[in-house]
Amino acid sequence: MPTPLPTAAWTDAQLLDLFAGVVARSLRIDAARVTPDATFTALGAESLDLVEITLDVELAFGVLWPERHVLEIAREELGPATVSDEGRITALGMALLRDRLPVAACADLPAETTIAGATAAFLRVDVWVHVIRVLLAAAPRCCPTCGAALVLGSPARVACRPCGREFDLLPGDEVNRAWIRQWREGRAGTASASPE
Amino acid sequence: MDIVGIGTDACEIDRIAASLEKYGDRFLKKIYTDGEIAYCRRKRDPAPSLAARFAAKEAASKALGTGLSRGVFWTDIEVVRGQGGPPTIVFHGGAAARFAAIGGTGSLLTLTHARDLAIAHVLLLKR
Repeated sequence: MPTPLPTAAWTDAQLLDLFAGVVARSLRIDAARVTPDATFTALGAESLDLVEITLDVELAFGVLWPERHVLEIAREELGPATVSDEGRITALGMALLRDRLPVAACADLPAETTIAGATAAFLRVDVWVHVIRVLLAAAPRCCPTCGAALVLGSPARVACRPCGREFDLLPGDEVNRAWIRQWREGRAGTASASPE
Repeated sequence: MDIVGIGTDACEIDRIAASLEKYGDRFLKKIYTDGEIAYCRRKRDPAPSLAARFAAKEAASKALGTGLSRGVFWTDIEVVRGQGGPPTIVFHGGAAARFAAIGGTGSLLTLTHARDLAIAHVLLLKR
């Protein structure tokens, strides 16, 4: 009997526990070292390890990991108001980033940092666990027909065993794109509702 | 011609073979472009060519001064091989933007592999 997939209702501790197991197996280290403030560099992960960890996360959590930085997608959606032509994150871009990733690593970023600088600062366990949480929030977990819990299907899909049907997972970049559009609308609504 | 970037990297062929065995197409599509996958699949053993391209992407990202996972993604750096010609680097996306930002106008790439290890060396040039 396949185990039901993790959901966004899981606690941070549950998500961290599963993630720590994935990282520990991939890097062949003690899971106790995979603490929220640990960096992947300190855990000994090289670039190929990070690729493998994302592939393992996709299977363990039933999500599709983003291929691109959320701010690159924000720039496509909102233009250079979020990231300047020189690659620096603007005040608006920083506000978006902090709403998307409400973790210390994000709050501590200096003003006008670059996407490269932000990405380097995000190679931490707590950031990755939070990314998993936002991906889970957009991931189908119940069959729309019978309501049964979904399990992993073929790659990039989840399956309903009782119905014998499979459903696509939304790519992580598209999860971020949809969130950015909602975020933009939310800010526009807040601005128009504000007294002059 | 000025040199505006230089990078070297080595990749264990067995490690790439193991990732390919474990993850299959999911692994390939995270790292390689469709053209690179098609080229390497034409080889009897694709692992050495895949490892050489992995090393080339790492070397090029070092030459760009960004490394990988810092706004430059694996598929942004492509190794292209013309008919009978030497391999060359083509930049896309964030890598292309960084290449332009450092004034790059051309690049040189050399790849080699022995039984265990693939090695790539990249020079970025400015006219």
